[in-house]
Amino acid sequence: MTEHALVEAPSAPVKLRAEDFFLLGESGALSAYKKTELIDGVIIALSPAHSLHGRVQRALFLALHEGCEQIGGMESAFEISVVLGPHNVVQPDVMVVTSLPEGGPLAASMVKLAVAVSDTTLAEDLAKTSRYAAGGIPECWVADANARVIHRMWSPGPDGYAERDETRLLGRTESVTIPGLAAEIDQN
Amino acid sequence: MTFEQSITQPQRYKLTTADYDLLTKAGAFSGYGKTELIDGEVIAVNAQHRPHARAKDELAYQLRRALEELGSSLQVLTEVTVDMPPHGAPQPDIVLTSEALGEGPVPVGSVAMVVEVADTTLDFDLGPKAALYAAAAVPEYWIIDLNECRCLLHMGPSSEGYAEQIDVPFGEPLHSGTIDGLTADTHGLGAGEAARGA
Repeated sequence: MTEHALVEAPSAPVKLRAEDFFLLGESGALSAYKKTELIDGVIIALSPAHSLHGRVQRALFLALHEGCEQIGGMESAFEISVVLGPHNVVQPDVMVVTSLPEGGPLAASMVKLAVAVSDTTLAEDLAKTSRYAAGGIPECWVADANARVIHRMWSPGPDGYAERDETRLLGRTESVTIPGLAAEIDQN
Repeated sequence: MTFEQSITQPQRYKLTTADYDLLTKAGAFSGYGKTELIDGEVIAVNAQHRPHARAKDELAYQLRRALEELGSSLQVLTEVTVDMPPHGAPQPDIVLTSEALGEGPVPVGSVAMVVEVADTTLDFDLGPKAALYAAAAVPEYWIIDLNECRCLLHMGPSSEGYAEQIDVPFGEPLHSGTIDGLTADTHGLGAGEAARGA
């Protein structure tokens, strides 16, 4: 319990820890949700049924899967929990990782590229990237499905990514930090 | 690729009483002196200081004596968890229950009244706590406001909150609105001149 902060306010919310989050997950408490994350000690749930998000996510996963096969030494991953810190466990929509463990969550150090797909949650997803950066993930993409652009971010620091640009979602998007890796999405 | 609209928004997951019980048994909150589950969120409460403890103990003593004199089946418990599913497990300062015996938390259906002593927590006690108790149909809710030297009696619970609030200054008798014949002497609940001179 050494990670628990002292209570400063008369009544202060308790931040759940990563182990609390995983215990709830194992108990089945979160099984009604397609996806849950622990953000600053609060469990955030996403409901199922969002087809636009799913289509873009699948397209990016397949494109990065192909890209990883071409360069070797990397794998693409789909919605696996990543521990960013004691009170933060995220589940990027798509990732490029150094290897995939048999089970359990990923350490942030294994993630080389995190991709979040946004349809109705662009502001939250862009804000969330600061946590990815603070966790040391070298590069992050936020794919805005509505505007059909990818926000690329790199040079992580404690307050966010220092560098960013935008590219078109449809077409070829190259990783800034992983040599030779690209995701190519056609219009079909 | 054909793009379609979607409607999903992220939402805070509210812990259930079962989740809270699981985490408590796993020791997740053992670093805190006291925690409560309020509207699906775990709340840590600071240690109590003497004015709070003295008012709570004094009132609990009075209520116990009054209930015994009335021959009531209700009993007084302090700092006990009350099960208010699906998302509530508060620990009111004082609980009047018809089921003081048994294991586990007090079932909310047995609770006739809860009391909170407020020194630094009035906003929370008037806000989320009142909403929780009203939604759980606790018939009567008292807040002992140590700063303003008054008691706030709430009755008429519903999912919208309590319908009625009565303000009783320290020094005047506090009559229960739902338990016939139950009265508490409010002299001595406060620490300062205002309480003694009211």
